[in-house]
Parts: sequence; structure tokens; C-alpha cells
Amino acid sequence: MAQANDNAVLKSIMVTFKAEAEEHLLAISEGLTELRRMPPSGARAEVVERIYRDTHSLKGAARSVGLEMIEAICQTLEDVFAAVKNTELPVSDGLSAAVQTVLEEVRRLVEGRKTMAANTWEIVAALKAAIDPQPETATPISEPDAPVSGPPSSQTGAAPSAAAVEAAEPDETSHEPLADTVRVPVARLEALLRLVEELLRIELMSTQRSAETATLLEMHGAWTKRWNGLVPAIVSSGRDLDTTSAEVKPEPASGPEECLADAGRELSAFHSALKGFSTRLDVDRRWTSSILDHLLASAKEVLMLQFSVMGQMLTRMAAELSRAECKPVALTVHGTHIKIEKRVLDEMNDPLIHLIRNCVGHGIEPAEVRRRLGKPECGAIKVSLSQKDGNKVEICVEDDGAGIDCARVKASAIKSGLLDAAEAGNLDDGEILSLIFRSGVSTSQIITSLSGRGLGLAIVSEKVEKLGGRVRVDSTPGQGTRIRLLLPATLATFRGTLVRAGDRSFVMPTDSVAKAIRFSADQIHSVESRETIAFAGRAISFVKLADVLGIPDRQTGENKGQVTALVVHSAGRYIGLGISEVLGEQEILVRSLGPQLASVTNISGAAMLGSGALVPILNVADLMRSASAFCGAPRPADPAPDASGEVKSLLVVEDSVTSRVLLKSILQAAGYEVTTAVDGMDAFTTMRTTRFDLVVSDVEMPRMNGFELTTRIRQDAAFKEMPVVLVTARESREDKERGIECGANAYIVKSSFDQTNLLSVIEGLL
Amino acid sequence: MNTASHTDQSILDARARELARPISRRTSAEGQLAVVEFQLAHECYAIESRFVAEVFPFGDITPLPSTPAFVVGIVNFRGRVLSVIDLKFFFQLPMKGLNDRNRAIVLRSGNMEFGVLVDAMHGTRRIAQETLQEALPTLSGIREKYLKGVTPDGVVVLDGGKLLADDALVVRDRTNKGEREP
Amino acid sequence: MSLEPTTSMLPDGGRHVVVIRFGDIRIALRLSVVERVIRAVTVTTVADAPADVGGLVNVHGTVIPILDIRCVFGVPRKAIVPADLFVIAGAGQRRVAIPVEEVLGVAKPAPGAAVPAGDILPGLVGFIEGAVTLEDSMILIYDLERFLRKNGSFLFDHVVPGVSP
Repeated sequence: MAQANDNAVLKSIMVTFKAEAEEHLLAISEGLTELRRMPPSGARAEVVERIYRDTHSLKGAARSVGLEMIEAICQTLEDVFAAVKNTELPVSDGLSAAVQTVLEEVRRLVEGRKTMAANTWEIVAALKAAIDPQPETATPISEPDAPVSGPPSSQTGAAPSAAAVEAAEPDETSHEPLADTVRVPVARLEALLRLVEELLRIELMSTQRSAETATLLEMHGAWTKRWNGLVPAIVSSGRDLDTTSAEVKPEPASGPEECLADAGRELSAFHSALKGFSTRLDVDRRWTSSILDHLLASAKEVLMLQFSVMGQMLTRMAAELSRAECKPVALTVHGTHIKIEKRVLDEMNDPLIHLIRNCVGHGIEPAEVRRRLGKPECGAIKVSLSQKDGNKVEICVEDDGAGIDCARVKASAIKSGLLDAAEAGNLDDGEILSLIFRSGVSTSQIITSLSGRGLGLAIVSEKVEKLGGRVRVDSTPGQGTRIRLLLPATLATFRGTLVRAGDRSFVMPTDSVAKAIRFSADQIHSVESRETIAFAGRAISFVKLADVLGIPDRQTGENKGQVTALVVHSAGRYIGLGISEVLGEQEILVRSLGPQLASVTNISGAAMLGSGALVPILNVADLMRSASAFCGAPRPADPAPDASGEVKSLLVVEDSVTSRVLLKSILQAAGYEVTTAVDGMDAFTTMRTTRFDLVVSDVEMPRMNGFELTTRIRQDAAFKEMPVVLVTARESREDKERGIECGANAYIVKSSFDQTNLLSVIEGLL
Repeated sequence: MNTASHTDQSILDARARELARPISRRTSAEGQLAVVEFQLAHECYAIESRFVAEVFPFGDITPLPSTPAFVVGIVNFRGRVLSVIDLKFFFQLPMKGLNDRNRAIVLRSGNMEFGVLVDAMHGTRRIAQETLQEALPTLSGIREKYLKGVTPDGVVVLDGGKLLADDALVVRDRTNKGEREP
Repeated sequence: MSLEPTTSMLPDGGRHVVVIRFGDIRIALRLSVVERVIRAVTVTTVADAPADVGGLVNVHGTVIPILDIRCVFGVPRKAIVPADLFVIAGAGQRRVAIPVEEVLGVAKPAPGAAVPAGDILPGLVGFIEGAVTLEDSMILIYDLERFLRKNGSFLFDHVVPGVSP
């Protein structure tokens, strides 16, 4: 039992150690690179000190988990750095390389290897030898009670340099930064960040509540206005009554007038109370919103990583690829100190690997070609990170290789059917270059294990766009290629444009939207089987979003002749997507579709709106593909029927504007299409022109009441099967009976009228 | 009822006692399957309770374009996104439209989780494992794939584990994979 | 517009019905509303219940009301005997047990079978949803769901959830 516990503890300690060790190794190796570039100066000492401490900490950590080999190596390294620190021992290329090799070995040990490469000890020994001649010079201050004095019990031992170690042992400050540092697994921080992001829903919700309150206020305003208009009429009719039948109404005429005036005052008091509430709600919302923004920013800050983490990985990879391809290549990384959110960095892992593979695979020419061209034999790849405006960073991957052969890109695009020769002729170089980000286009004439399938760059562009970023490429033939990835430094929310297509809502990432436009339908040109519109002086494909997605497109009558479209772009291509309307723009919280929907064409996730409603987020790169597939294919005569069933259409008959709005919103929220009529007569006329599935009617109405309407409906051969639900304030048995008599299918009394009751009645009848 | 003879009454009483007994108590828990019983179209189905995380009445469902017909859509499941599928599609049962009484049985195991649309819930019961019969010849192929057995009273017991493990139910479209080149 | 969303979309028209008999009356119930048929059991009577409520019966821990169909159709009452059957029918929470003397079988109505005018039983008015021919005689299909929806609430007033474990 105790054994098992110990094992578990050890296991978790090892996880912690690995993480810590990796950080130290990274810091040491970075520091070393920095040191090599630096002229000897005051700043140099600082860097050396940092390396020294990192080594020392790593040694201590290794000892605490019983990794003697690492401890022994660190001891030697510590000695070396102590010597550098105290004696201005120059950091020669040889020394640096040897240290890097040793660090690589330590990294492997940390990762769980049990043995070391045969020559490692030789290198360690050589390092030791390099500093041994001057041990006596390394004794500036002596601290006899330094903690690191226990003899390392490794197979080699480090006894010869023990004196140097003790002498060079820095004061306890090397541990001080740790004193107010807490080591937390990334997974836990990510969970925390996710929770904080959940809080954003509160912000979205309160925005929604604010809007709802504004609607209430508006409704109440309308009511007040109507009331004020009615009062004189009531008063005058009351007077008429008084004059005609004064003896029947003995009270003074001022009685009802006073009552009306009272009611009017109450109404306006309520109105100002509601107004005050609305204002306070707004203030609360702004306050919440600002606090949440701060909270989210701080939470993200915690998960920011330096780009150097990625840089190391890329450098190693380039070295491996260089060996495998037998091309001498040197990769340098710049801007390693800039921080990016871990999730963004994680997402960029694959794209950067692809880009480096591309550079080595077909950017950089073989050595003999380079020699012939008078270029340095060793190809240079430069990866640099720079901070841009507005929380953006740019990763730039440059090589000094052959550049991109536009003719070959064009040929490949034509071959893969993306373009026809005529279209290709019209493209400028920039447009042609952007083609490399599309699937199936490759400039490589042979497929190697590294590249040539034409998929790599398509993935780069998709990943970048998924994060709300953008890819740019420029290339000078013979000089090299530069690919720039503009990315958000932090992730999570993005701006989304909420649109309606057919009767569904979708979110389009605002970063992908070039413009929302409205134009008349005759501006759509048909070129062969495709439709195009003019945008920014050129023709771009136009297709209806509903058609691309295969959902029914309901054209509302009033908009006939006018077309609303979003011009979206991906990988340098533009397309016009016809939509029903733009509903607005807002911060969107992205959610995955769950494990069962691992990936869905055209949909990248779901957004949860303030109301809790889910809206699919469109994937622009996919849409482009689907749209071109759609344009190419003949238009289907009959779009696939919607699997979820058609939307039922209801007619709501109500003379009171408030009740009408209320009923309409309840029913719309339940997913029905709702048309309204102000009385029975209006309803019956509307029914003649429009088909409905069910009628919900008030009873008391001017011109034609609910009973009369029901009777008319039942008498008409066209409607006698039409379900009718009567909703009324009258709770009398006679009325109920009358309702059933005249053929209503349900009779709901308003006092017992809650939405679930109404909805279940309607649902039961449909 | 007062005219019933003495023996008749005792027969009826005995039957009433038998009928009243909760199914779970009829035999020991050994060899018993706890199941959640529900209705799909006009047929009765059940799934073992251990795969059922919860029964969730949902309001709005957001249909997703570009998904197979068996995917009904996504719902807001306590602040999370839950996909809901309709098994009726596989069982060649009529696909009714949705209504506000729709419920989803949330199936969960390991990392997989989804909702199964049901037309009505009948509650939980226990089924003696040995009374389960093999597939009826009328069950179509795919139903047999997920079949655990059929109870004597005709309830089709589905194998929740197989449903959850079936990769064919996971939508993984061709594009947008980000797979590395080999 | 269909009032029978459950059945109209079934591949075979979904119109299979179960024909039941009590006294001299034969009516049909849609198969889709019939859950199962059990042999009659002793019924717990309910004091002060309306005439249509024949009592309560405990089905595996769920208490469901007895719909006294004889009373609904104005047939004289009779004691329940062991040869009787209970048809358990309804949907979801709204389930009832209907005591009958015989279940005559499952039939499929002829499409467009006309509902005979005149001599319609009092209990059926408003709840006929078709007719089926069985052994040359016309049997009306009783819309139980609609009946329960419209008049059924009293049936369930007496059911206390969780009366029995």
C-alpha cells in the first residue's frame, strides 16, 4: 500500500521534474546562443549568471529525484559556467557546441532514456579538462557552508572540480525567484482559463437582457401612448352616458375621470421605474464587462509562452531535415522573447513544421546548384516573430532558396482543375502565389517524403484562418520565399458576424468578411454555369449560402430584387455569399461540436449566444471548396428536404398589441413561423392568401370575435381541418362550451396561461 | 366487483400483487440488466442504464447543415454542446418532426458522448438477462448490429457500448483534418 | 395538416388497430397507443372518484388509473372476473388500463372506409378517427389519445406519484 503510494508520488514528482528540467535546459541553451553573439560587456555577466543558476537549479532538481547521471553532468556544466563567470573564459564555438551536445544528451535522459551515447562522457571529460587548468583562479569568495557540497555519487564522480564548485556556489538568491513562484501543471491553468472564458457568457447574457429590457420599455411606451390617446375618448363617452342617463349614474362625473387619471399616473410611474431599471441594468452590464475583460486578459497572460519554446523545436527539426535531405541548412530564430498564448502556439506547431519542411524540401536548392548560382552553400532559413498592432503577432518564415515558380504553380493549378488556362492567364503573380495554399497545388515535380503532395500549405492556411489569422506569401524567383502568418497573440473570443440564411442563423468569422454588400439582383452575371458579381473592380463568384449548405432558402417577398451578400476571403480568394440578412456582429465564444461530431464540412464549431442558443460557426476555407463544387455542379432542382422537418406556420389573432407581441415572441421562440392579425376579419382575409398550420386566436376582438372566426373557419371547406386554439381572459363554463361548440380544438384561459401549457397544446394539435 | 366469487377474487388479488411488484424485485440482481426504456416511433427500445448519463429534455435544437441525416443537431446541454442523433434513421422508422416534448438520452463512455433522440420515455426497469432473446428475423441489419436482445414483451434492448464505440456514428469529414503528411 | 402525426407517416400507413370488446360493444384502438394487454387484476377503488374512474391499479410500481370504458359508453357495469383483460394504453405519463372482456385481434383498416352516419354511440361522439372492417362488420376506431387529452385530466387526479415503491 505504502509502496503504491510512494510510486504514485514519485510518478507525479517525475512529471514535475520533466517540466522543470525542460525549462532549465531551454534557458541554458538559449543563454548560450545569446552569449556567443554578445560582445564581452557588463550585460554578458548577467547572462552567464542566469545560465549558471539554471544549471544549478537543474542539478538540484535532478538530485532530488535521484537522477545521478544528470546531476553529474550538471555538476560539470556548472563548473564550466562558473569558470566562464569568474574568469572571463571565452565562449568559443567549440565550447558552445560541446555544451549543446551535452545538453541534448541531458534532454534525452530527462525524457526517460536510461543510458547515454558512448561519447558523452568524453565530451564531459573534455569540458572538465577545459576549465581544470585554472581552478585556483575561480575562487573569488569562499562560502564554506554552501549547500551543494554533497559529493555526487555518479560513476565518473566530479571530485576534481569540487573545489571550484564550492567556491563558485552562489548565494542563496539563486533560489529566491522560486520562493514566490508556484509550479502549476498547464492542464490546470487551461481548465481555469476555460472557466474564465465561460464567464464571458455572463457578459453576452447581460447584453441580451439589456436588449430585452429595452424592448419591454418600448412596448410599455406604446401602451402608455395608446392609453393617453384613449383617455379623452373614454372620458367623453362617459360624459355622453351621463347626459343621456344621468339618473342611472348618480355618482359625480369626476369619479371615473379621477380613476383614469390615477391609472395614467401609475402608468407613467411604472414607465419611469422601468426606465430606471433599464439604465441600472446597463451600468451593471458595463461594469461586469470591464471586470470580465480584465479577468480574461490576466488569465490569458498566465498562459503566455515565449516563442523560444517553438524556436528550439524548429532548429532541431531543421537540423534533422538537413541531414536527411543532404542539404546544408541553417535555421535561425528571431524574436524568441515575444510571448504568445500557449493555445495559439500549439495550433501553430503543425503549420510551422510544414513550412520548414517546405523550405528544406523545395525552397532551398541542393548544394551544388547553390554553388553554381553563387549562393552560399548553406541555405538559410529565418524564422522570426514580431509584435504587430492590436494583439497580433507575425511569424515570418523566410528562406534564401529558389523562390516559387509561378509558371509551375499555374500549371499545377490547371492540372488539378482549380483553374482553366484562360482564367490562369488573367491572374497576377500575387494571385498565383496565393494558389499554393489550396489543396492539390504543388510546385514539386517529385513527391518526396517531405513534400510534393500539395496538402501541406493548404493546411497551414486553414489552421491560421481558424485562429482568425491570415497568411501572406511573397517570393522572388532565385532569391527566396517569404511566408508571413499574421496571428492573434491570444485566442478564445473572436468577432463573429451573425447572419441568416434561409431560416437559420450562422456565424461568419468577421476576420474573413471583406464586406457586407447589398445590390440589386440584376447585377449578378451568369458566366457559363457560374454566377458572378463585381467586387473591388473584379468579378468574383457568387453563390447563395443556403444553396452551398443545402438548406431551404426562404425568400421573403419584400426583398425580392435586392440581394444581401457577404464577400468573404480565404487564402487570397474572394467569393460572394448570398444571405437573407446580416443580424449583427458580436464577440463569439467558440465551442467544439462534441466528440461525436469530430469534424463537419463547412462548420468549424458552435457559438453560444447570450440567450443560450447555439449557432453554427462557418468554416470559410471549407465553404470556398463547397461553393466551387456547387458552382461546378448543375443546380439541383429540388434542394434536399430538411431533416428536422418543416417549420410550422401559425396565425396569431389578437387585438391587443402587447398580447400580440408576447404571443408572437413565445411562439417564435418555440420555433414556429408566426404571422399576426389584428382581428377575426383580418385573420380570415389573411388565411385566404397564406397557408397556415394552426390558428391561435383571442376571443374578444372588434369586428369579428374568436367564436365567429372559429365558426367561419369550420364552415369553410378549405379550412375545416384547421386546428384552432382560443386564448381568452374569460373563464366561464358557458364560454368554454361555446368555444367547443363552434369547433375550437382547444380553449386556454389566460389566467392559466403559461407558455408551456400553450406550447404543449399547440404541439399536440400539429 | 362485489359479485365476484371467492376464488375469482383470490385469483385477481394474487395477480394484482404480482403486477404491483416492481420488476427489479422479482428476482435477485444477479443476471439483471438495469435499462432505460423509451420509445422510437411506435416501437419500444431500451438501453442499459450504465451507459446513460442522463435523460435530458431539450428545448431548441440547432440543426447542422452538411451533416448526415441521422444527426438531428446540437443542443445546449448545461452550457456545453451536445450532438443529438436519431436512431430511427438506422432502424428505418419514420422520422417524426421535433416537438417540445423531445428528450435526449445522453450516452457517455470514456471520451465519447452524444444524445439519442427519443419520442417518449417509459422509465427504468430491470430485465433478467436470461430472458433476452436473439434477434427477431424482422429486425433489419443495422438494428441487429446494436442489438443486445429482445425481451419477451418485445422491447428491443440496444447495446449502448456498441453504439458509443461505433466509429461509423462519428462524423469525421474529409476536409479540415490537419493531418500531417506521412 | 394531419391530426395524427404519430401514424400517418408510418410506412404501412400505421393504421393497425386493436379491436376490443366489452359487453356488446366492439371498438378499435390504434395499435400505437396500446402498450400491452394483461390479465385482469383486483382494482383499488377510489372514494369520490368520477364515474369514469374505475379505480387504480399498480403496474410494477407505477399507479395507473382504470378508465371505465363501460361507463364512458353507457354500458351497464359488471364485476371484473379473472377471464377479463386490461388493455394498458396511452402515452408517456398518461397511461390508463381499460378493462375489456375480449381482445379480438389486430386489424388494418381499409383506406377510406366511410364512417357510417347515424346510430353513433354516445361515448364516441367527437372521438371517432375512422373505421375498420372485421368479419364483415364495421368497427369504429376510438381516438383514445384525443379523449385523454380533452377529458382525461380527472383520471389522473387520483394518481399519487410514488404511491407504491
